[in-house]
Amino acid sequence: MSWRRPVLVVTAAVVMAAVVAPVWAWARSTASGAETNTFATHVFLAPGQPVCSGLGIVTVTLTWSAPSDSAQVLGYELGVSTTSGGPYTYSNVGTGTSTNTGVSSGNNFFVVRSVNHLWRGPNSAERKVVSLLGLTASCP
Amino acid sequence: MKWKRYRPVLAVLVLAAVASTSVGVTLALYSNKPTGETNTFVAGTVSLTNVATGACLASTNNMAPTDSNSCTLASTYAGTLSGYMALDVFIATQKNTTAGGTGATDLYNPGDTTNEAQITVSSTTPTVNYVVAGGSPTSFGTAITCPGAGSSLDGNSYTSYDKCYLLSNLLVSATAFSSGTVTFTTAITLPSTQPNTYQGSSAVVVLAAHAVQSKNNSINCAAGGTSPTAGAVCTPAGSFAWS
Repeated sequence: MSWRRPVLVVTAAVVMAAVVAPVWAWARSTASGAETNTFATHVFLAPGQPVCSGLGIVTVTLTWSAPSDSAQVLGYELGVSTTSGGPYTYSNVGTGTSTNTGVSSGNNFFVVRSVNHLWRGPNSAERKVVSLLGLTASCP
Repeated sequence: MKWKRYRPVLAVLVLAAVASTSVGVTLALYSNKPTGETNTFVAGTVSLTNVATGACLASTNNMAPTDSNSCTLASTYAGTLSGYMALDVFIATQKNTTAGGTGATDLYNPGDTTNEAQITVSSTTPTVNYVVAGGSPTSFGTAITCPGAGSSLDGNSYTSYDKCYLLSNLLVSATAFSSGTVTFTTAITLPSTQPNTYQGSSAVVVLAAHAVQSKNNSINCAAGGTSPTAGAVCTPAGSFAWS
């Protein structure tokens, strides 16, 4: 006579919720919206093409219009070359938009560019000034 | 008492009733043939609300040498469980070869700590410095592959950028938050000595705060162990986890 006792397997996993619940909360709560900050530097614009506002003996007064970003401009440099297209030799001419400068005999090609600390804007369009016999200047 | 062979199977019912003292729990009846169970656990919450404020909600353009700007991000902790807070900071940067010339450089340029954009991230309540250009207290290290829209912190694509950097899990405080608002500030200054090669360059700084519950998840970082330094990267150690 054999007994086949019903086998009862009771598996009880009793875990206190106070322990389990926080573990479930490990899922990281992320930002509802990350903050995106974009910082971009200025790109300088070119001043207007210099015009001859005054001709003298071996000198010429050049005037140009300030670029539309003049609020960013701390000054200007005047570039000069005996060759169209440069290379130019630059000199600081201050914050104004005109300067009186000397000219060399022959062709003189002038450009202007903006200055902000060590940053330099692009050159303006070129202005040709011709000095005759090294004495008088013309602005053809 | 007489027993009969092959008597019908005995029926046994076992009821287990366990009550939780802090959180509601329903335990199912367990038997030898569990056909299904429904356990309801009401978990605590960890909540962060981030609000971008300050002057640069929109893009901050047209910066020139000596210009400064800053943006703030207010992260409010309001979970029902105390938690640790950390900050992820991402930078994407690029140059402008037209304005900056052939030697153009990225606005964030760790190779030129003197002249690069001086970008800092700090917070109040608590007062902590996280990232400072030049690597103190925490350096961004080497550049990573710029992420696409699906993997960046803010969902934007940065694959067109020149270089990207990421710092994850900058610890806000070794003490868990139960409430309060942390205000993060991202600041930028362009040095007066910055050469023309930086003209036209740009950088995007993305902040994302996150938190994890502290109960049964005590802070433990690879650097600093159980007493880590705020502002430093907390790479999880031991059983501690950020997620």
